[in-house]
Amino acid sequence: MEERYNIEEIINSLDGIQRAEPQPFLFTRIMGRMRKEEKTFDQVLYKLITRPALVLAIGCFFIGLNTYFIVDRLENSNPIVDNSQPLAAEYNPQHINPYEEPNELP
Amino acid sequence: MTEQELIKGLREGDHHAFKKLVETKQSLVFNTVLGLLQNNEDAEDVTQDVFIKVFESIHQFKGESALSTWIYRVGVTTALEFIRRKKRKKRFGFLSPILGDDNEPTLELSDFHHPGIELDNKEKAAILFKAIQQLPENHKVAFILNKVEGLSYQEVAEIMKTSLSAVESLLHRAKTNLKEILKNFNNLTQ
Repeated sequence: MEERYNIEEIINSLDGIQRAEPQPFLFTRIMGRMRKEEKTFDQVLYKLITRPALVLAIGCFFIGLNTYFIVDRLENSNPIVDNSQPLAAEYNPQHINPYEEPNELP
Repeated sequence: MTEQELIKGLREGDHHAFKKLVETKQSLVFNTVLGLLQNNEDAEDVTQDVFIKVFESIHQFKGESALSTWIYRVGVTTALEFIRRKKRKKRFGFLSPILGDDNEPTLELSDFHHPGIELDNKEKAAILFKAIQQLPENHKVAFILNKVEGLSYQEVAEIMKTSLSAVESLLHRAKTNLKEILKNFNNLTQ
């Protein structure tokens, strides 16, 4: 800045300022913009489902669900099944000790 | 159309009322926003934003102040948001916090020539506008509303939702700050 003006002169340079006016047809431009910004249901839906946060959340949900089912299946793949009881029930053994002689009365 | 009729029309979504509002308040909004942004294209865009906001949120206007006061408030808030957004963009875009202190006034400012300034004062006003950009937000708002928009201290106080004495103090400090900034401009360019 050149030393041509003193500071007071600069501070007072806005005295007598006139209001600035916008370009003509402001209302038409505003209406055009409002129409442009009006969104259809499809556009809103598309914008919503393509949100990175939503896509990430859905992805995490499905990965979590898959992990749960995989872990659950692995835990249940080799179950220790006690088959003796159903087998015993099926053959209905009467004597328990083979060394024990049955009491045979004359 | 009285102000009450205008407000009623806006609340009903009447486009004729909206057109009337734009026609009567456009220079008020544009001039204030231009003073704060110091860029014609940005001011045109933000002026449109302001009117859309006013139309869409007229139900929030409770009539506690004049409609103009409320519109000024929307205008100032929208312009300040725009400036903050632009600063954020600039900061992250060019990594300026790494290169220098963010509070340090930047001198990479373009010359702004307000169209309402008399020819004799154009150069001095351009220097002043450059200095105004470096004021804190509330100083800048008070100074623009008082000096560029020509509002009284009372009107500025109503727009800024503060007391008359607070506005007097703000403007006094704004002028003191401006003098300091202008002095530094002198030192830097000598």
